[in-house]
Amino acid sequence: METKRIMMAVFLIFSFTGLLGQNAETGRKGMVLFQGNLAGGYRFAPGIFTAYVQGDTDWFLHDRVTLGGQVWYHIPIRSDVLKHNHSVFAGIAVHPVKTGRIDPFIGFHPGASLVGERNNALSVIPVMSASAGVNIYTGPLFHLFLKVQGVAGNFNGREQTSQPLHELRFSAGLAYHFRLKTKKSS
Amino acid sequence: MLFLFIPCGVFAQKKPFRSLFDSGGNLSLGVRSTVSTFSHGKFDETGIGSGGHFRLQLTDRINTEWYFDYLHTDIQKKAYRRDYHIGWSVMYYLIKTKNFTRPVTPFIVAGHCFDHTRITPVNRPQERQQRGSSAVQAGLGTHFNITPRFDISLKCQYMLHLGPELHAHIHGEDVEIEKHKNAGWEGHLLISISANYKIARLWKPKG
Repeated sequence: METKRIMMAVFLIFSFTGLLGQNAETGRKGMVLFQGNLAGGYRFAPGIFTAYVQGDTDWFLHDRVTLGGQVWYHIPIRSDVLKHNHSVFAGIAVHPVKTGRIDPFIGFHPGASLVGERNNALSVIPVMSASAGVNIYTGPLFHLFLKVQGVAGNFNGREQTSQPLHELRFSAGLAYHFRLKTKKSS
Repeated sequence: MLFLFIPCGVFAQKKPFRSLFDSGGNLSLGVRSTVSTFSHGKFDETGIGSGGHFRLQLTDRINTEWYFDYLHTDIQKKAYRRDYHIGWSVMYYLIKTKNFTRPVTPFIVAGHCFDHTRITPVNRPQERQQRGSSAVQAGLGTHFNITPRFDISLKCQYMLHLGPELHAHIHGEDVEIEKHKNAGWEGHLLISISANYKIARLWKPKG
């Protein structure tokens, strides 16, 4: 029984290594990336960890630049005085490496957050953000990603809850991409 | 006598016609983040804002930017200020753009905006006051051209309000909102960073 488990584990490991044998993407212009995952964060002012469901999409309009948008849905936890801190961002990311399996990037995404301490008192707060991360392409459809994003803003609720929204957010996991059809050059 | 006629041929050559618009035409869209600091003579009440804009380049050296900003400023946790700016700026490039193939394109900028300000004490929202006004701004900036179509721009401007302006004074636990007539030289320092993409060329340069 134990031998069977070990063989199963070895089989599963080797079945994924085949992904690395596939050709890396050459020239990323026209690719669309998207993902949806759980994400975490750390808000500095009260010094608490936060949780989100996060999704984003990016479009390679150039081999080294993407236009993208993000949505972050806040999951309230007991120790957090803010019951709502949902965000949307839009901006660009610069990818210094044009081709290859490893794709680091840095991004700039201004946005807005819907913030409130209870359901009937939500405010739209402008926030600014910058991100850094890396995509690892494993094939024509899937890639792994890791991203760290810094967010800055200020929220004023009641005096006890007025606080900065400065936060570091982390997301990682499996993502997807496909290539839009591009015109063939004559 | 014949030698005197030789230079006359110079005047017969056609001088290339350079239209006012023959180097412009780029239409860009952008998103921006703005930090407002140095408010009313003091380095406090730092506000953070977001917004968007479009740019229409008129000539090789002159670009215009039409923008909207929304800024939120915390006032010592006792009150908060919301500013809405809608306006326009003119940018003059200090060097030839060379179709933005240079890594950096610096510029000077000046413009005007309409401003709506709302100040609300945190524990007494019914005492909120708001006012519309007008402002002028000027400063320096630069484009960091990642590609000829994409750029990240950094801009620093000083904004002066024209006419009366709202301001909150904190006295211990109390918040007093008053209208200042003629704010004078006490304005705001605005630092903006934006990401921009040229989506179209509305007219092609001649020649």
